[in-house]
Amino acid sequence: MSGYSKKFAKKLEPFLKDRTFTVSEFVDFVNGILEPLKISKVTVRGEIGEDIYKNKQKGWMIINLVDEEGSQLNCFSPSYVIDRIGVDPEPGMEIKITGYPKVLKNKGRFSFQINRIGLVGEGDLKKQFEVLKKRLKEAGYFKPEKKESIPIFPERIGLITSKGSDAEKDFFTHLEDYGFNVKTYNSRVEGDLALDDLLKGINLLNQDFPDLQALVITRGGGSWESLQAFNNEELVKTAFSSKIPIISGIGHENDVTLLDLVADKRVSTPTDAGKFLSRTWREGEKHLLESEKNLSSATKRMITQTERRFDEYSRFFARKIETVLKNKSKSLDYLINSLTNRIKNKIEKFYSLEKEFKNQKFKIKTKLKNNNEKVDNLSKNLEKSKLRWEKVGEDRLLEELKKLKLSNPELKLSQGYSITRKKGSIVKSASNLKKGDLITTDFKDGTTKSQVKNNE
Amino acid sequence: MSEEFDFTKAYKEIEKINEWFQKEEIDLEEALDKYERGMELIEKCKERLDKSKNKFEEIKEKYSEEE
Repeated sequence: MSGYSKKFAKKLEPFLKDRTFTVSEFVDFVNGILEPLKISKVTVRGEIGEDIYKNKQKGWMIINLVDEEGSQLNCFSPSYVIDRIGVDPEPGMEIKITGYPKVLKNKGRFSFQINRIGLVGEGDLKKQFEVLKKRLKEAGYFKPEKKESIPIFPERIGLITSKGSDAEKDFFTHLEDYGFNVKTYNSRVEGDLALDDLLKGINLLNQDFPDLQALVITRGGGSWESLQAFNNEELVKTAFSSKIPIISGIGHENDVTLLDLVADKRVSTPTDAGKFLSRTWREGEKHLLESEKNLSSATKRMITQTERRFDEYSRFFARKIETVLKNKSKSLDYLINSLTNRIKNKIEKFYSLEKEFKNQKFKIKTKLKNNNEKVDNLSKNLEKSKLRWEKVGEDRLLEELKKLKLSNPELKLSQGYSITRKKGSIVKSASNLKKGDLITTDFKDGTTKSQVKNNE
Repeated sequence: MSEEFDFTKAYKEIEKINEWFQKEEIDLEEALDKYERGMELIEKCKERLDKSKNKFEEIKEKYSEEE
């Protein structure tokens, strides 16, 4: 400590040299020296002394922190700090206070300003835990329906744990290779400064990486006391309001911390956290391979079924068509038969007709022959007749000629007859002539002209 | 391909196709389409799983000082 003091003294020298302070100035000066402690905050452990003063109205308290050596520290605690611990501070309680010292001007007293009180004794811790748990439960922080579900196949993971710890190692060992993208925030997981780290981790990851699908907060096992950061009210509230679902694995099989209760998913250990995230992927992978097989077999089955159905149908159709064809062929046969018969008949008729015709021809020939003969005979007869008639004709002609000759007027004329004509025409009767008519008279050897003298 | 392959979506689609195949009566034409789609998706999922390596990155705090 002395080396530190010496260095510090050297730095202060310029401020002290040749200076006389007033009381206020001095107190301010001392508080100025103490300022770094206000910025960094200090943690002091001790037991609550007998003298406790609590302001009934405002709720703040003044306590005395003592240690085994009997040293005392006067402390001031605002009401909200008291509220946070969930139990009333009592003499004899072992506590840890975090805050900074200052000199109270108006009281002239060295006083420790408490920012946070943490219980130390296990019994007290448990009591505090139960009170807080009840209160938070009633406020609805642990309700199952308020919990978010983790995506089935998470890829982007946030991890809040102590870097290099066994917990970290175990987590990564059991996180199987499925393309996880893990963003790790190094956080203390025990001691007084753990809480700040945890709060910062949750807030930072929510703020800078809002697309993370799960936030794993994990640490290995330890004493109940060492887990106190995870029973902190502010941590519960921050975890509750985290948009990214929280998986807590605080490595404590038997006792459940408040973070475990508010988390969206609780696993026992870092190992389990890694396994949990990988499980769906692993099962999904298996299921994929099954699906592949099922699809193939289902499709094969379908195709076989369809082929079978096609066979059935085609056989059915074939049978149907066979039947139809048979029927058609029967009726066709029948048609052909009747047609054939008809044609046969016709042909037979034709043949018989032909025969008949042949017969007729024969008859005709015969008839013709007869006719020919008849004609021949006829013509022969005709010839004979002609000859006869020719002869007869000749004879007749001769006769007629004779007659004609006898009738010949010339003959008559030569016999002494004459032909009297009046105006060319022959006069056959005397009555046709009157006196004075001019007449001609043909004699065998000539003609005379005369005039009628009188008619007797 | 600018489109990112969504494993979860593909997986869900495969499950749907599996369900569809459980039906009593299915249309052959559709079955062949779904089979092809299913096998395509399965292939892509398997690729995704095969190629996957985990990536680890430590986050540094933005602010080194507390308030």
